[in-house]
Amino acid sequence: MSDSIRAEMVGILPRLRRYAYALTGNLHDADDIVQETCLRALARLDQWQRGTRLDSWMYRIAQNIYFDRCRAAKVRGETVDLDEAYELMSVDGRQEMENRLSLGEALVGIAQLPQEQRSLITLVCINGLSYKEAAQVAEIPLGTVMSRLARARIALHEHISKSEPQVSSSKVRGHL
Amino acid sequence: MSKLTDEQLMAYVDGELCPEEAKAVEELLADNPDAVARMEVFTSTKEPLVEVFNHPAFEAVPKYLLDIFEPNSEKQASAVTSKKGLLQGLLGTMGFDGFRLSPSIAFSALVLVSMGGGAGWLLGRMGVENQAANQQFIAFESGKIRATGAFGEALEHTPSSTVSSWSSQGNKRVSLKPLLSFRSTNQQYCRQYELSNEKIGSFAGLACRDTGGVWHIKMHQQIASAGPQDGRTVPANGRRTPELDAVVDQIIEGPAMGAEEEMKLIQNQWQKKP
Repeated sequence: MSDSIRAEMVGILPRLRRYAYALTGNLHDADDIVQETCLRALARLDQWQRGTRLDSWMYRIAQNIYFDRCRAAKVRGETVDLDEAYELMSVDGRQEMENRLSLGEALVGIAQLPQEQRSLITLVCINGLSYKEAAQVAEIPLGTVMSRLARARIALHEHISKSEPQVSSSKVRGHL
Repeated sequence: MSKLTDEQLMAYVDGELCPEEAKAVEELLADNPDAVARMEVFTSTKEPLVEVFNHPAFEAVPKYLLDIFEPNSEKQASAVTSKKGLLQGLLGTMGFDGFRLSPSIAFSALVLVSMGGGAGWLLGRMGVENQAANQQFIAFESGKIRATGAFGEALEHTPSSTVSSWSSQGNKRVSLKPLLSFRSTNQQYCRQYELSNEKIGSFAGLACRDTGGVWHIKMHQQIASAGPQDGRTVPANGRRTPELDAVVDQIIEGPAMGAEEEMKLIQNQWQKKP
């Protein structure tokens, strides 16, 4: 493996962590997914098509790992651990005062969305992928990206405008 | 006047439109205050999100993640290979051959001993004091470990997420909770389970049913020790079983079974009705 690809992959890690964090709602699970993504990416580097975006390819791997885990967790009746998000929500008083969106609030809002929408909104709105790039990651048509993304943002917007900052530092858990 | 759709507004906000399309949207926006207000949905879910996720924590990538990419780390390369080899070997001795493997994080902490010569290892892990006690619910046969007695019965008949329990020697409660059932790529039915022994602790495991109706234990690992005071178990690591999950990922064919399908199979002694 060339040093430049290695360096490029390292450069992608913060974005990959952000993506996994938005999907899972906590840093521990996020880094778990990131680690597995890196190992898979290295082992399957021959499957990456040169000339295509390396980050999109890694997002796709992370997305698939996440979906697989959700499927298994759902069968086992596990739930998403959003405690960290709620903690963030309750401690970030400054942002409440200024009526700005907080990270915890955003995470909780994103956690309400179906998995596919969670992934799309993170790729496009947070990590800045174009619709076309997001369509390649999700392996769905462009039109589907747009309709899902619009639905996701309408739902998130509703959640953010409704949410009252003080509601919960309690142990509310969102289902996968 | 043509109406602006949410998708058009969103694409406009996101800068996804070509100049002509953007101009057309702007013209429509000029006399459509409702659409202008509606744009708020999409502006409020873009920049503010970027802002809150632009957190230094994400840039502080932990060292163990960076180490994966260390250029001169022969160790890393061999770690990936050996993890792969280890899993391959493990699956081989478990009777699952010919799987295409992906190395996985799960194996960074994998300390399982292969089952071939691992009967002693399993014995230790089954958490029973002596072999006589073991024979209550497991038996060794030509290098394989089968669930017998109450354990075998529980695997055969208990629906997932339901607990079935019995008494071990010494009158300790042993309970089994199947977590999920699935069909493996070599066409066996397999079940992931949790076994708790009041005295010793909790174990996570995987058993697969052969065509003769025998449940073979493929993996079995301790996940919690029994609590000191009341005999209830305390999860050692939040009941995470990455090794086991990775093995399930490797051998599962399609999605895990739904409750209804599982119930039908249980009622029909794990035979699919023709």
